[in-house]
Amino acid sequence: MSQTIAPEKIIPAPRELSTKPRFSDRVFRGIVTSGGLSSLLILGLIFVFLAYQGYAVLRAEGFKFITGSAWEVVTDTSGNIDDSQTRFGLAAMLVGTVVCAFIAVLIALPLSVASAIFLTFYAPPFIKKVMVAVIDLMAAFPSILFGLWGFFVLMPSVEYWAKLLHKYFGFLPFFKMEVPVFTRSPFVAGVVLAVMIIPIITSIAREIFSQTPLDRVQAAYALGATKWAMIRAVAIPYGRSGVVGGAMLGLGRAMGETVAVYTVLNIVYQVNWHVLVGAGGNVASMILLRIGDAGPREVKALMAAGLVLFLLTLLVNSIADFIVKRTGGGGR
Amino acid sequence: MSIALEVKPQKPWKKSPQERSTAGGLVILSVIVSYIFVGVTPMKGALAYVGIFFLVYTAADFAYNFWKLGIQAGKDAIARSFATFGLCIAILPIISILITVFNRGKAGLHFGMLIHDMSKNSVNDPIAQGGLLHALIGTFIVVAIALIISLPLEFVPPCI
Repeated sequence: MSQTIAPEKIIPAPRELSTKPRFSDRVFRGIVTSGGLSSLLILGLIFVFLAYQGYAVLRAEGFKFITGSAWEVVTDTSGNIDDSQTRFGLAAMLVGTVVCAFIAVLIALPLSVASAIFLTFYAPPFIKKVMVAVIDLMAAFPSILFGLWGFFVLMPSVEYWAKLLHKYFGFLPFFKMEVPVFTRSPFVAGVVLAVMIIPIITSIAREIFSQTPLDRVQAAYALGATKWAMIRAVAIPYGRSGVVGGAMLGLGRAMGETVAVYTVLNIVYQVNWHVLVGAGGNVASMILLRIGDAGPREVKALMAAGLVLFLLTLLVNSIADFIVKRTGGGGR
Repeated sequence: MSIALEVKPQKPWKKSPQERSTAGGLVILSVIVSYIFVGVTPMKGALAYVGIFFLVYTAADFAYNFWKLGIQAGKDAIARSFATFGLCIAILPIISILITVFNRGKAGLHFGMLIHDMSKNSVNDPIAQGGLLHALIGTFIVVAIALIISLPLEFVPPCI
């Protein structure tokens, strides 16, 4: 007779369940977190440095640093800088920066959105490939190249366009001019900046449009829509917030641009809303212009100017974020 | 018996020769009209040519599609021509930049440029002497330092 041996009942000890990360996980997390925070830290340090350096001038000038537009360094008879009479005001530069960047976005946005729509929905695959490569190449160009090209090639044409605008739209308040000087105007700088930010906005808009949900696209076609009807009903509502975000990114780039503007803009310390007149301002370019032969106090003033530009860019980016969040929520 | 089924891939969206010739004809018509228009009216210059060509082509394309297929196709034609011209204008600067840089810089192009620096030459020497080796190496060094510092910081997943 065979004996049946009852199998021993093995009750395994319950596995220890824990949500506690392993040691290696924690180390990796720490490294990665410190990497992520380091960019924030660097940004904060830049802010602190600028504020520390510019504090003296900001304190002395008060609100006049933003509302006044005189930038005068007075030297006495022996050639020393007289600190008691120097005046630093940034209003003209701030106005010029905003005007140039606004012109740039105004010109670049329609062109970029049109080319993004063409590349995403209309272009044959071969042309699409080539054009995407070309536009990415354009985004990689150094800004000094844009500046030189703008100075030597673009400026004569843009001056001609400015004359046409003045001739036919001169009744508009911002196209008025008392002195007919069209050279090196904010309009020229705006056009050069527009050329610079077209590739940025185009590639962002193209990216957004290419993510349009395929089922909605197919549904629109199935209902008998033409391409344009599909774009208007599906792609544009879906991509609107992304395009606005791209435009704001371009605006931020246009505001911070230094060298390209420096080569084509005539910097004058006077608030000028007339975009065709050859006198403008730009904070970043002004810093580049003055830093070479600035005395110690003026260097501090330039630091303060950098701080204001920093805050302005931060403000624009937060507004962009706000707009993107409000108008977000992808299409119908 | 097996039936030899030869399936030829069909492309119903492919343009027929007739459609192609119509599209080409529209372009040629627009070119001719813009040429005549610029010749007759006081508008002159490249801007006038491009502008008139764009307007005439858009109008002609719209009219043709409207006549053949109806208002929706007409709107589609307008959108298509706007998008195409947008891309053409956006591409124009880069072509201009490339041509400008090459045209103005080709006098200074020579092979010694990449293997000499300016230590034995001054600015006033002929353009075929010296080179930009120093600037190239400097650029590489700066980029290398920047990469060494920033690459470790870049491996940050967006979740944190």
